[in-house]
Amino acid sequence: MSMALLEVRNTRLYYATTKGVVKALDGVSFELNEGETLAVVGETGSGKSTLAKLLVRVWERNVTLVDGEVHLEGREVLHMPEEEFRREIRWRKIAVVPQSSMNALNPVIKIGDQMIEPLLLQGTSKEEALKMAMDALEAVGLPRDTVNRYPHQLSGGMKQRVIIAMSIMAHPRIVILDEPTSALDVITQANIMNLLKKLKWEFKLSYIFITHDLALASELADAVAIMYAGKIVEIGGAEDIYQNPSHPYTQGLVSSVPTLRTDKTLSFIPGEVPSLITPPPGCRFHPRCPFYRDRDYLKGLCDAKEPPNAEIEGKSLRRHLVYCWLYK
Amino acid sequence: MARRREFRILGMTPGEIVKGFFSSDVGKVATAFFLVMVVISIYALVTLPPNFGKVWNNPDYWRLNPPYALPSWVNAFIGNVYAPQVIINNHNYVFSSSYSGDTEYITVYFTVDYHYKKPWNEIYVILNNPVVYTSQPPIMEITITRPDNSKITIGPLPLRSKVVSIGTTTQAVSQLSQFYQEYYQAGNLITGTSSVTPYIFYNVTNGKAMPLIGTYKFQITIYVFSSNTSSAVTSNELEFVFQGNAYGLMGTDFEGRDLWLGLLAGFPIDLAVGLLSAIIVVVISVFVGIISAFFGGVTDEFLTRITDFVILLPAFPLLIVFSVLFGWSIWDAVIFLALVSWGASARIIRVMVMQIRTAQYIESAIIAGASRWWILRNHVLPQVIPYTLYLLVTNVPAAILTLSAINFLGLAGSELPTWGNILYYAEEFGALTSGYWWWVIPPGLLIAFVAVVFIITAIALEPVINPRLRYG
Amino acid sequence: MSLSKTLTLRMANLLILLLVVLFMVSYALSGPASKILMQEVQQEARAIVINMMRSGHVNATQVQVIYNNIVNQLSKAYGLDQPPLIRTFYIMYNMLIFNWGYSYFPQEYGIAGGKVVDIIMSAFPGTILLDTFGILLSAFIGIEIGLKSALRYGSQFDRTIMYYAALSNGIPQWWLGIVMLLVFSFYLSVIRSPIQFPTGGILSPNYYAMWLVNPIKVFTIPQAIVDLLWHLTLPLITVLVINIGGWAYFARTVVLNISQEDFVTFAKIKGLPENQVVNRYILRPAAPTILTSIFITLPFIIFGGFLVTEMVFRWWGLGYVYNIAIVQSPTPDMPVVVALTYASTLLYIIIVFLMEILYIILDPRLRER
Repeated sequence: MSMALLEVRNTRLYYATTKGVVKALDGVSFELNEGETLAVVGETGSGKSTLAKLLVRVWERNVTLVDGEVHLEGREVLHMPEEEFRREIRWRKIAVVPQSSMNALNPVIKIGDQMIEPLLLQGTSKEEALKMAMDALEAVGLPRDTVNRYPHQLSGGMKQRVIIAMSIMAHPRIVILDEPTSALDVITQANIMNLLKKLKWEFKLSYIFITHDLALASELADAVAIMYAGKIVEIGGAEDIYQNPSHPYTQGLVSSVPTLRTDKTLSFIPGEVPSLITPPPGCRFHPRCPFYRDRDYLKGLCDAKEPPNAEIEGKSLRRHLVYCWLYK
Repeated sequence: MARRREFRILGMTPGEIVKGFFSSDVGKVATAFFLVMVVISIYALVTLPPNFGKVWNNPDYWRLNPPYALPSWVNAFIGNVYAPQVIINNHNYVFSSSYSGDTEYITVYFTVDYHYKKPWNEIYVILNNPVVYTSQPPIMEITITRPDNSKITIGPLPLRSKVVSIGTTTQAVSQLSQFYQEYYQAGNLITGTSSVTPYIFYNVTNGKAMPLIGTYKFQITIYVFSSNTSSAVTSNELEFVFQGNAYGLMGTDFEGRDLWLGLLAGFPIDLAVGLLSAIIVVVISVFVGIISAFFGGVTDEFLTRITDFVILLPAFPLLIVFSVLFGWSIWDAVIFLALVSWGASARIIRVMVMQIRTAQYIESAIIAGASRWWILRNHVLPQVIPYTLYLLVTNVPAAILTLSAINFLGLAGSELPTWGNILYYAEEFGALTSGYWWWVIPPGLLIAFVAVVFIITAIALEPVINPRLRYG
Repeated sequence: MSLSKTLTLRMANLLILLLVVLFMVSYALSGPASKILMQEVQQEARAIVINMMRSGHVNATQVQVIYNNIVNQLSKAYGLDQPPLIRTFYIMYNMLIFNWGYSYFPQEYGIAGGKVVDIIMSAFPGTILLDTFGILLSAFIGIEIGLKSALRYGSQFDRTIMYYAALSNGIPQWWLGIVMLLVFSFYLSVIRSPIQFPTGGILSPNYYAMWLVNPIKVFTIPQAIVDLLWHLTLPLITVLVINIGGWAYFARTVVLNISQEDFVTFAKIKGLPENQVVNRYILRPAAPTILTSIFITLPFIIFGGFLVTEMVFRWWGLGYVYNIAIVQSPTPDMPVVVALTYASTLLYIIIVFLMEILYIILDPRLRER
């Protein structure tokens, strides 16, 4: 098997707050293969956005712990010197389209000038960089003269596309999209999703697509990772996850998505996201898990020890792993 | 499962607020200094008499103190240079009184240690018995035995009033001149232009007067005429004050007023002045801000114009002009200053209330049928009221600094011992050109201290007010 | 609302303000204060007359006549013989057409002729030199420091700067001036140090008269320039020490707020180096706020604590003149007071208006509606 494009091992990221240490990422491991789209799905507070910050190494001031390993194309990049990372990895190999891209553009600088900044740093001439910017804008379906406008003159969807255009201009290996459509209406959302698909084929991009919307993720994903309370609870090929959701949480998610044509009893997962400062002992999902509630033999197990990963038979090439005591 | 309703102000529970405030370094420092300030103010209010203002302005009260005197602890640093103020009363002297006919003979005996470079300026005799002066003034004789066993006699000296200074009397001048002539052949050293008391403590070597260190024994006899036993002078009515060159903890000003007391009195006064001004500012600005933002429309336009106008008013010059023209007291100045300073705070409150008013939860509340007053009471006020504390704290320093400046110019009442006034007199009476640092430095330092305490408190409160600054 | 309409409205606002302020001061000096002014006029007349009596050159009846004359003249000058409102408008009118007249007490200022315009113009350079230049310098240094402080949030440097800012905001500027004079002027001369600083004034006496009349000439003489700088040192240091802190704190707050914006984070994600992030993503958006506050402070300085600072250093500037006119003159020197207030307010609204235009240039979001 060829080496994965991105290998993430046991990464942790903790924040210090006045209420305590928030363990936003607590031992997350996964792989991303070339040309693959990995959807990272989870609720608010599951740590999925933090994952993006970790990979691009731009985080808040009050971060107190970062460790683990991240191997990109064989190189370890999490502990690389900052300057080296900035010059070689950031936006060159890994680009991030952040959440709420509405505010990601500098209000006092023209769009074009903002788009070409990373290229100018690499030595491209201004004319050539602007041409590339205009090509990118065209690719995302925006008029070429957008380069002369200011951010406040664009709508939310247009700004989103600008950011996407910026991300592809750099020809990165991996584009991380953090909830790229959450703030948009359904029609624009559909347009953006189509755009992403098109760009993926055209530029051979690998995506990490972060979302809370399991259904949305299915449009794009080759693989899905389900995150809960700072950990990955299930990961596998898209087919396997959608057809054979194994972790109780994933099952809960799947059954809470309405379907258009068939009749389905909707269910929901009771309870709330746990505190990341004092997470529940053992399996973090156990307070909300219907199996834990109903099966006595799990008591003393799920609430005491963290479940190791179990492999499940599946159709896709990717291994289908579940972190649940039910499968051990 | 229902979560217990937490009481939150500006997004934090009171417990979190207190913890957030005190956990920061700034918060700890601010609280410490604030407590110091409050404690000193209470101490001042308790120990000083309520009519201290009158006392401060009554020159007689301070007459016995040396004017322009350094603090007495200066001696600790530069050696024994300055003679401190010494009071000899019935605790320090030996008193005996006897009668012969209707004349009372009083003898008093005490010793004084002199080991300074600069001797006492003057010796005052205080005889506090009103009956004594009815017919004939008492007569006093002083015999001083010096460390070198020479004796100086001064007197007979009539005591014509309650307080008598001996150094300027003709008897003292001539008798001391005589003494110097006999002993040192230097009678011409003593001129009669100022008090000759210092010369009691000199000897003359090589034609120059040098301090004579040692123990001086004072023997004083007083004859009181037309007296009877019922109105006899008792020991607690007789007192001797040696006026030194150094006095007290903070020295004295041009009238000999004890600056320690004056500066202490300044604490409650300056604090009251600053707080009052700030309170008025906050009240007006909250009022205007809420009404303006809440009722909108023409009211808002109108009030905003007024606010803009007030902000752009040249407050300080107007304050000066009006203080001069109308002869304002400090309290008039306080009110006027508040009336022209509320603009900026009103703007802030207005913005706050606007944000609340246009928030979505208000829209839903209105749809659900909430009345304006309900919204005001349950949404607007709970957010605005805590902010007013912060607003208050931020407005106090400016008030204190401005009013001190006005006082420094000699305006808005120079009778009260505010620190600005003390500095006014310092400047007027040449503290700068004569280097009276104890008069110049402490008042300004105290103004700065109080202002800084409030500034630091405001900084410590900021994370509570501005959520963006929380969590490091 | 279109751009030009907004600007016109603002301009109208500011002009109304000017008129109202002018009215207030004029009315105050001519209206309700008339009784007090009358008393002060009489006091002044009495003092003059007593002096004359002491000199013994006049007898009782002459004295009475002179007294009445003085009272009448001063009353007329103050316009005390006319109803207050008329007086007020008369004063305002004269101010607006720049007919500022003559000072009542020209000897206090040392300007030959005593024309108010001359007095004010003679003090103007001094104010620019100390106040304006001082504030600008404080702003530049302070903003630099504040920026560095914000970028090193939480460090020892940052905390020191914060404490310094809090401290410097609480110290009365004029008091620091006194202390500076005490230490560097008085004590240095007491210990007979070779380097001493003067006890005040803007120039030594030999250049002083020249400065009052033709300041530019002073700049052509090297020794005079040195003399000027020597006199400028202590006051300027006082201004810097007190004001740098405030600017540093302000810049720090602005930068901290902007640093938390999403576009700053995105700039970092794009791999931009730190100095580019700071310059294009923090400073450029912060520029309107910072520049406008520099502009806003400029006119205020005459109105604030600088008045007293100039007095402490006997620095010949508008603040000192103001002080002489109101506080040190036997009765308020009305022409000077009103003219100064008017001139300062006028200057203020001009600067505010310019600032509005500048804001629009810097922030493209305001350009069209």
